[in-house]
Amino acid sequence: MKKVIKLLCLAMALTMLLTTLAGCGKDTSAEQSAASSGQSAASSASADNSAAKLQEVPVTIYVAGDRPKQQDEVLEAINNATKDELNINLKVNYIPWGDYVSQVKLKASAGEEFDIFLSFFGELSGNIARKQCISINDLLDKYGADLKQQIPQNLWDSLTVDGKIYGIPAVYAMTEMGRGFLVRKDLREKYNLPEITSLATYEQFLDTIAKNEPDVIPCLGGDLSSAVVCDAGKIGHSIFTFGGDNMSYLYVDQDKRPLKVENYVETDLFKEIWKEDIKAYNNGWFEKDFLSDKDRDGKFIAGKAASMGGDLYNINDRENQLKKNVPNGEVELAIINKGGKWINIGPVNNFGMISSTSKNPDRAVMFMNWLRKDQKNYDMYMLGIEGKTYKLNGEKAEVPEGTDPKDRYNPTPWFTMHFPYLRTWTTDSPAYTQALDFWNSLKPETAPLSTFSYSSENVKAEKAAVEKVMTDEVIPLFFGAKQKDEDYDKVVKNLKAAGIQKILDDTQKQIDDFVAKNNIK
Amino acid sequence: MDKRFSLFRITNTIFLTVVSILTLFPFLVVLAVSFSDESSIAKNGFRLIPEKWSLGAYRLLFEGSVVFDAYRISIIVTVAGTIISVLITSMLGYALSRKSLKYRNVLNMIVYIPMIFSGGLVPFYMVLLKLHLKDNILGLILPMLFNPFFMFLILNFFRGLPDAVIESAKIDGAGEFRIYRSIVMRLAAPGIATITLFYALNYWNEWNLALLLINDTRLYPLQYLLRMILMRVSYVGQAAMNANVSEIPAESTKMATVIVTIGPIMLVYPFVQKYFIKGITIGAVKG
Repeated sequence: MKKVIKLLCLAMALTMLLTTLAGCGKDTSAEQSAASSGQSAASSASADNSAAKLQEVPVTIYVAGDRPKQQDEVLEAINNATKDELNINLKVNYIPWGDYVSQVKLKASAGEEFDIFLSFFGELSGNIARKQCISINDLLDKYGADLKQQIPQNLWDSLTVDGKIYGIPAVYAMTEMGRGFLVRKDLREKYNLPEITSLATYEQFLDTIAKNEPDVIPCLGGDLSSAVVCDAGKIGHSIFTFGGDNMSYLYVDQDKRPLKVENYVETDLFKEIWKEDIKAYNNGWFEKDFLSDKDRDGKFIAGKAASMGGDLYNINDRENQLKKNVPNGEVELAIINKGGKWINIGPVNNFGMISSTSKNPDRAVMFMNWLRKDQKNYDMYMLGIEGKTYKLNGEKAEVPEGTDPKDRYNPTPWFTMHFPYLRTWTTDSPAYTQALDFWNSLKPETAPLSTFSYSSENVKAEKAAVEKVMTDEVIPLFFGAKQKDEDYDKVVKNLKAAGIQKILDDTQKQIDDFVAKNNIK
Repeated sequence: MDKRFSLFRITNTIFLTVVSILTLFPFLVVLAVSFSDESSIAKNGFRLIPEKWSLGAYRLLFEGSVVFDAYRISIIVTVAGTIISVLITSMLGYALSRKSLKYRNVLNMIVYIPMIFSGGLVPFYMVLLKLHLKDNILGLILPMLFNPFFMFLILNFFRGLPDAVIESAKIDGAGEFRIYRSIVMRLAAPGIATITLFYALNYWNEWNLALLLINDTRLYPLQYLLRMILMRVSYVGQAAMNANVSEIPAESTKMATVIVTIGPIMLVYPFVQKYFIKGITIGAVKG
């Protein structure tokens, strides 16, 4: 018995020692891999120059979403097709959307080897600070000729910090997506109403629905601000408001110089929207429980509403679901002031990054470059194998016979989304195709503050107090439930008492710094 | 009056019947919704008797071989994992329950400390990677093989067994393993049943390890797969562009998911329950 115990103790001690060693081993290997990644970049570059054959290396991608059934088959086809050019063993791993960001963080900090990952603008500074990604200026110069050519400069600028580029932007419709909203086309046509392109035509639509369709809510939600703001007679394009979790209270007019932050509630614009919302509220254009409604989508697809917020990306889905409940239902995207000025208010939100745990960052960039090189390559990744996972019908993609449309090969595109190469499907709604064409045709300007990210670090207490006033008092006011001027004056007074001035001063300083740093004129 | 029909008994029976029906009610709603047509849910909300019956939600869950594969993986993991776990836990528990074991306090502490302090997720994940558990079915079993809390549970149960029983077995010539196998395990059946149930539930409900380790769809356990289906339903907006999700019946899918997941594990309860009554040691030692 004693011997057994001694043996056990020994074994225990040994395991403990081993695990400590393993821990150390991890560290060194991580360092080594970091070091060797630099080396391999250099060495393969020289190998490239001498036109020697590339050695096969694995390239692993992490994306959010569901793994399509055909993924392995398609990856094998890509590996074979790129044998001479890239010689990679491509793997794509999928993590569910809700877990994605935290899981990638975990994998990176545990030193797991992978090469490319999808990331989002909100993660950019964190990823850089944690050294989760590497800067790719040199790699892009060497291997990214097509990427540089295919992706507009303003998108690269979004992902450049202190002169270093950290991500490969996706190219997709992102300009003022809030300027459009979903409308029931069948209802609009039933009453012979004109297409909705302005506040006036939208009001006409809402009013007709309110008067003639008692069971249908004219507008889900309780806010007409984007229709008011974007109307040709008003600002004409989206505005830059920020600072709140539920509702923004900071506003910068980016058409004016110098860039000055204002209390949004005190602007004339706010008052104008407020008056409009009061009108809508009194006319019964809003749903009754818009502050607590959690199931707008459900109401819309059940045919209980005539319009709601939504964009290009929702049309197909909403129309398909609506058709199941309302067979003749049709959805269209109404866009306010189509012909007016379009600007990018925000930065590019989706991009691919090269992981700092990558052993072959050079090959990863080469692959990313290959993807955007031409339509053929892009199709091979996004649509799969022609004749097997898709067919071409003119310029459109078609689901091959025998495959259920919802089982079609459907990889997550966001790390390399490229609208110029994006094919529509024959099953897509015409409203979607139109909207896509429209967004593709836009030549938007970029707002000076598009990459500005606001920090409330210095004014936490004031922020909490102001947000309480916003939630408790401003939101009911804004949506038309409170209508008197005294209500408005009281709200303004309470915001001042909560310390909004201090937030304004702090934000102004941040904006001034940003302007100075980025040479904005 | 017959005692069986006293006022108290009658009211009591009625009351308890009502309470039982009430507790059953949410479950029945779940069942009903899972068989409802999505459009009738959209129109009328949840109903106990669906206006329009539909198997759409179950069709979505069971289409292709994925769910069956997942069932298989879950069952393998649960059965194999539970058996090994119970063996390891009870063996250690038995050893530590014997006063003749030297250094048992040290061993106790070694088990106890990780119960309170954990290395955190990153080191945990690093160890799993080092052990090559990625995309490996063992990755769903090994990390959960031993639970200190269940060990202490069974340890206390073993401590409650009279020493005299074990001594008498020794006198009859039984070795340590025989005592463990033929006497302690039998006498401790209610305790073993408890930890078996706990372990089985743990293995059955585990999805986090799959999230960490499994990329291969063929190795998805059921819970992870169902969680992904739910995620897909609630992330329709974000993934709208790439997922052709128009066919997903949201509410009924959620409810069908509940039904599908609780199915097999509900069978474990009645099976284990009989051990909770039996196996009491009263009367084993007399005089």
